[in-house]
Amino acid sequence: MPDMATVLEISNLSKRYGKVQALQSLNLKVEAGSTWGILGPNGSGKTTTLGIVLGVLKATTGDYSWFDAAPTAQARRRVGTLLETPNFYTYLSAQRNLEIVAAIKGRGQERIKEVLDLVLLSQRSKDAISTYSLGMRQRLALASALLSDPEVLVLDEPTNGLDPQGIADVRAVIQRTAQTGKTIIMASHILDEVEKVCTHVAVLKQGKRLAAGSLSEVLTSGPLLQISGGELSTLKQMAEQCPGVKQVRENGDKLELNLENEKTPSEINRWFMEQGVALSHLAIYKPNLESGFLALIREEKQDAPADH
Amino acid sequence: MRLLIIELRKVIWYRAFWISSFGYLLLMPLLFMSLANFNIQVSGGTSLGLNLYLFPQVWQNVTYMATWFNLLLYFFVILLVTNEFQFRTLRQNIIDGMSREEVLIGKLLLLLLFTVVSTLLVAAVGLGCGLAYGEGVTWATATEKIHFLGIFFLQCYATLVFALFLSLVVQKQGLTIIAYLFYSMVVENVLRFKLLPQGWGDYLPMKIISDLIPNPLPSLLGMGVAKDPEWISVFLTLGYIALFSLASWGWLRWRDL
Repeated sequence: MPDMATVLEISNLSKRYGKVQALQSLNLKVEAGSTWGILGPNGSGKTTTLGIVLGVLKATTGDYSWFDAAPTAQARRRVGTLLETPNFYTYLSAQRNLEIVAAIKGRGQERIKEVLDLVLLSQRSKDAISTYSLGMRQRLALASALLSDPEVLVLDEPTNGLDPQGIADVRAVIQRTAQTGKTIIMASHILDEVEKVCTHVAVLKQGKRLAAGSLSEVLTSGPLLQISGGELSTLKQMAEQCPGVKQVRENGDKLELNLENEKTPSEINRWFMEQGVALSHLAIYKPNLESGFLALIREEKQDAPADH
Repeated sequence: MRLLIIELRKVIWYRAFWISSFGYLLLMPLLFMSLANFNIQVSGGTSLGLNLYLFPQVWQNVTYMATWFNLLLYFFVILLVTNEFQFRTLRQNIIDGMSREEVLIGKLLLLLLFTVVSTLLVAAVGLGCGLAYGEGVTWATATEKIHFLGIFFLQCYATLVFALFLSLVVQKQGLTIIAYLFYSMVVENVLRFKLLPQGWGDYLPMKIISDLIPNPLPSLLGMGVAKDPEWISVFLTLGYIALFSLASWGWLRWRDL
């Protein structure tokens, strides 16, 4: 595979606020043209990560680079950004706000009308932002992110706080942009959103990276075998001894077994029979990404106390 | 220049800016015109007529009074800078591609522009009042004390840079104004008279900056000669401008925004 240009490289990035470790030794490499989702529950360090690489937060330790070079203000001009809360001069109109953004970026004055059209705000472009609803501000923030026709889009919870129509509109614009081959880095706690746009995903929890890679690699755990029979804790102890079982997880009154590839349900069933246990339930199912994501987050929760 | 233009884009369509500038540009000449017949009632009913606008003394009188009037300008700068925190636009400017240094330089340039405009206005008002109400104008008397305009310029810029620094540190609008007043009226006096060794307090920033233009009133009332600015104060003021700029830079450089 040919070497691709690196857009963003994060190495060993940590951030501490007093006693709180918001981010812990994060590593991530985003290549040109790829679409990355940073996925994790609230407070997992997504916004902190983006704040650092966008120059507003200071990392406690670690580095990052944009476009294979030390990060500069110049590099940030090549990035379009949409943050969780839209920040504008509320006494100015949409038009004037975008003029300021274009002046900072050094490009895009001629695209103001085009991006306002794109987010359906042309009619209101002369009105002060203070008269805008949250949804309109969010759309304007998207217009602002797209204004300089940037090579890279960084989006932080782009649909947060929007009504269903707003969510659909914003997602449609992002999806269309993704298809034009731009690099996208999107933080979100909504898997659905990431799934629709991103090919790669990094899962964060409590400031730590749990997994990173292509969407299917990270979030699909292979077929799961659901079993039950007899007392659950005894069954669990046995299942952990069972050859070919990679992982055992409780789910309600059943166990979920993560099997090695060549193992079949009948082999597992036979093994339990040999141990003198009759399974009352045996079913195989292919988990969707959502349950893969939840499993990933949940596993970590069970292990978490050991880290502290 | 690019940075100044960005800053101007932020204020030029700001209604508070137009109201403030309109008030500023209109009120200052009116104030000085109303003082043309300045009288102090001395006990016993006799009044002391004073002409503030005789050349060359007019320059000192006008610039001294204008420094008080400039409180309006200082507060407006505090409003502008704290707005950037309230709207989180300072953060946004950096995300969009300004460096932290550029943010500071843009603001320093804007303040410089305000200072130039303010000085020109004071010059125009001083000249106008001098010509209208003063007597016996010659080229020599009209220009004799004109260096007070330069001192005024320095005084204004130094105070604005201090207001900028305070706004960056405090960030909240009302609190910054309170901090400004509290510092210049209370903190320095406490330091001067209570905490610091005798004499040291005379070198505190607000004291130095506000004493740049000596109060002309004693000499107007015949008590002593009109004092000229002291060079040491001029140098110290330049030092304070550098210090507050550097402190602002350091603050912006190392902080999370």
